[in-house]
Amino acid sequence: MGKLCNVNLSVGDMAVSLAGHDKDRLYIVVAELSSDFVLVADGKYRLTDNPKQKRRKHLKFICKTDATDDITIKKAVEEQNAKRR
Amino acid sequence: MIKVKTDEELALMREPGRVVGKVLREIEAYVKPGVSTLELNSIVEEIILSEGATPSFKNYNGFPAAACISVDDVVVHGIPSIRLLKEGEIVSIDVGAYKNGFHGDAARTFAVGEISPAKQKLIDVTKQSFFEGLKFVKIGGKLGDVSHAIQAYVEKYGYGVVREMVGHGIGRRLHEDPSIPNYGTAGTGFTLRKGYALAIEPMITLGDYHITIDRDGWTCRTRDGSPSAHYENTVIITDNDVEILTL
Repeated sequence: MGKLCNVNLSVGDMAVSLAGHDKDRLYIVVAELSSDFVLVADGKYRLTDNPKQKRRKHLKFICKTDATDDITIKKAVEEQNAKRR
Repeated sequence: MIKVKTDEELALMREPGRVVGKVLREIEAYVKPGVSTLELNSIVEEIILSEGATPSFKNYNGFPAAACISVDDVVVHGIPSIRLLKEGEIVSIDVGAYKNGFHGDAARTFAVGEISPAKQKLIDVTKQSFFEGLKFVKIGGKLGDVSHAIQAYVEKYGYGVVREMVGHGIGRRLHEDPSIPNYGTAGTGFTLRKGYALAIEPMITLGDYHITIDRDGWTCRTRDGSPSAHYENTVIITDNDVEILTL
């Protein structure tokens, strides 16, 4: 059984929230703050000028993206949400 | 920390390995168009139980089945369902068995009926890449040599080497240290020692190597939709040699 290696989330990675009021919501990492925290945005509720701070351990890697601004982030999240319905 | 097994522990690991090898040899006959992946899973579980073992994957971190059954663009961790196999698809069956206090783990990719030459080549190259990596599994060798050998062989054919999913140590637990990527730099990583038990498992795609994980939290598939193949064996490093337990 393949093991998911500890993906160290980096800018552009899409991740799902595992905890908090936003559990199951998809985000894209827009900045790395520390070994424990990243900043995330989803292009809708959280934009790149007001990203949300999340603990790395409360996020699970989904896939890598090229999204870097609110438009591409929103599009990437919507596309992934459509696949996950 | 990598657990070094004693000679007695390595001997005990042969039995779950034998069971897994038997399951994968026998399940091939059942892989055909029109059969569901759930049915294949039932057969896998039945064989494991008939050998006095238990399925390693069932309820492992919540995984709901005895086998991971992954079709076409699903790389690994496909959850068995009523989905019927179709002619021309490829299906990877990944099986684990627990017996004598130890786990065995292996995977094969099978053709469903007649498949395209491209898919057959993918299966063959993925299988051979395991043996290319195996050449470097020896006392004093570096883990990076194994990973690099797999990557170098596969990328000659223009295929993708999945990064986020890796092989692993194995023993009393299904997933132990070390992680064994299928890509890397020769001459780096852990030094291999006698008593190591490793599950080496190239996961290779016909297209790009990037993956996504489905909403179920398990199903891992290629991001570009290209088919993927998987080949895995549990190997142990003994005094004399490297032994494959699951063939």
